[in-house]
Amino acid sequence: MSASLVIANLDVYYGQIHALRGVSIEVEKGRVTTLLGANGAGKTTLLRTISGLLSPRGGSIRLDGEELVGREPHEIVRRGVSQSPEGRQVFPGLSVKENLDLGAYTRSDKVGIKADFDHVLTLWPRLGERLAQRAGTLSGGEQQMLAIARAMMARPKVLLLDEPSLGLAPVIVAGIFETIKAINDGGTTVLLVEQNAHLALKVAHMGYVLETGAIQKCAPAAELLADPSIREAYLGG
Amino acid sequence: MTLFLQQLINGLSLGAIYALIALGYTMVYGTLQLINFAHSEVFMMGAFAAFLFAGAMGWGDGAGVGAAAAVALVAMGSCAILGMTIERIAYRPMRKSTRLNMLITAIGVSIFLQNLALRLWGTNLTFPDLIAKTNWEIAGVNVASNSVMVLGVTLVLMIGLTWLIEKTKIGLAMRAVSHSRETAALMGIPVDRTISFTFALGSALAGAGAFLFLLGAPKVDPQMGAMPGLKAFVAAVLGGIGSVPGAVVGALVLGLCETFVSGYVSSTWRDAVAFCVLIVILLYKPSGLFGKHIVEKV
Ligand SMILES: Nc1ncnc2c1ncn2[C@@H]1O[C@H](COP(=O)(O)OP(=O)(O)OP(=O)(O)O)[C@@H](O)[C@H]1O
Ligand SMILES: [Mg+2]
Repeated sequence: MSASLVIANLDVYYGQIHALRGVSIEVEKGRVTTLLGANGAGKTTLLRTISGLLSPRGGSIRLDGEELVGREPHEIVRRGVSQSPEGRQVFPGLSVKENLDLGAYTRSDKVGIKADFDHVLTLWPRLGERLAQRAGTLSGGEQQMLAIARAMMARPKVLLLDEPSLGLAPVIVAGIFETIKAINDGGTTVLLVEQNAHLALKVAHMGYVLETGAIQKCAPAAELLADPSIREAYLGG
Repeated sequence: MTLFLQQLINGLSLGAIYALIALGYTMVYGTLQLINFAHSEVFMMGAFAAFLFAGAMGWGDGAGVGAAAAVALVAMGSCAILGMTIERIAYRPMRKSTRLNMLITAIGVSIFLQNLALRLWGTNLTFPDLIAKTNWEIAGVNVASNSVMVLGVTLVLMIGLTWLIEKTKIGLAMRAVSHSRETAALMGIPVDRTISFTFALGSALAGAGAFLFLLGAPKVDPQMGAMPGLKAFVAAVLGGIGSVPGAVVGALVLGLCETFVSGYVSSTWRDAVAFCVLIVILLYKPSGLFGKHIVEKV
């Protein structure tokens, strides 16, 4: 199985704070890779660095062999990495339709955009019923769906998801994980950041554990699910 | 009644010019949260561009509508280029700095441009009456051709601007960037280019405003931007700075207040109106008439 996104020896700082310490991760093509870690471990920092919002001090991020470090965020989207950011970050004053249109900003293939638009609406019919509604008036769960749907509108090779379960009711979370699985079955590679380790490991093939900016463990998801130390730290014993 | 209608037309055409300037303040504020004090000077430079271009073409009094249109387009284009240049050279390097530092930079640019114009071109130049002025008597009300032109051009520009912001891809990008530069970047929007475009657009509108202003007050001077710029700024605050429709409504209200006060009270109070409005709005509704109240669920 070939790797789609290869992150090697990544070092990221916030001023003096060393937020990522030599992080290396391989996101395999066509699979779901999950990154687990407690609050403040550096998960969001990693995703923001991949998307080009933060510049690493060292290391490399390659997409199908091509270096992404040093590129502008919009160039990275164009090359095939899109993100549903932490806290969803929908554009509250814009309509659901406009939010989805923005997801496809880098594209100009009208037919393909329309097909993907129809596709995300079959995944999330509730968004289809609310196209003209301002995104800020959606429920938290609907906003999360919109954030993922919007990222899908870029037709990414690799989809980055930052804690899609954050602050949502268990039923909604279950639905969101089902769609993550459906998206992956459709061929999209996924890097999923989560604190909900149980659900994340069930949907993922590979798992990484990040602790205070460094990778502590890397193993197939099934193995991590059975790992006593992981059970204790992230699965509530 | 006749006086009232007369003042109404005067007030609207004054407000229209304020609106064209106010839009630049509000759009730049919406994207960068910067009060672009150099915007008054972009307006002034637009007037100089119009003056210099008309002079270079040898166009004087009565040169005609075609010449006037060409001069207006040159003023708009020059302002667009100037606005983008100011953003690129002065504001972009400061973007990660504090808002106070950006404000000081803007004031610096403003002083620089005033002195540049003074140095290069001098003061108190007379702009030609490119289009012969006429007055129409409609139902006892005296309608100046200038006012009609100001209102007509402004209306066309407003419709164009609304279409651009609401219906085009770049307009959607501008709205996204003004919500959040970071999230816009995650959508694949080239944020720097979008900000640059916002400056170009706001500055071009100020250029159109400068041309229309000269139709009624044909003096070109390095200081000429100060008062209209300040009034337009008040209009933008009145409407709710950051809001595009707010800037237009605020400007029309301010233009009407000014003409009615000078018509019915005393013309010496004319300039005081704007500042009274500013004080009142800051005291009672600092977010302005159309201030943003976004429903956000977290
Ligand atoms: N802008 C910033 N400036 C300084 N330090 C920061 C900044 N953003 C994050 N940090 C620090 O970097 C570390 C990693 O933060 P990050 O947001 O990546 O964690 P996380 O794993 O996503 O946590 P959470 O699960 O709470 O979202 C934390 O110690 C945090 O305090
Ligand atoms: Mg985080």
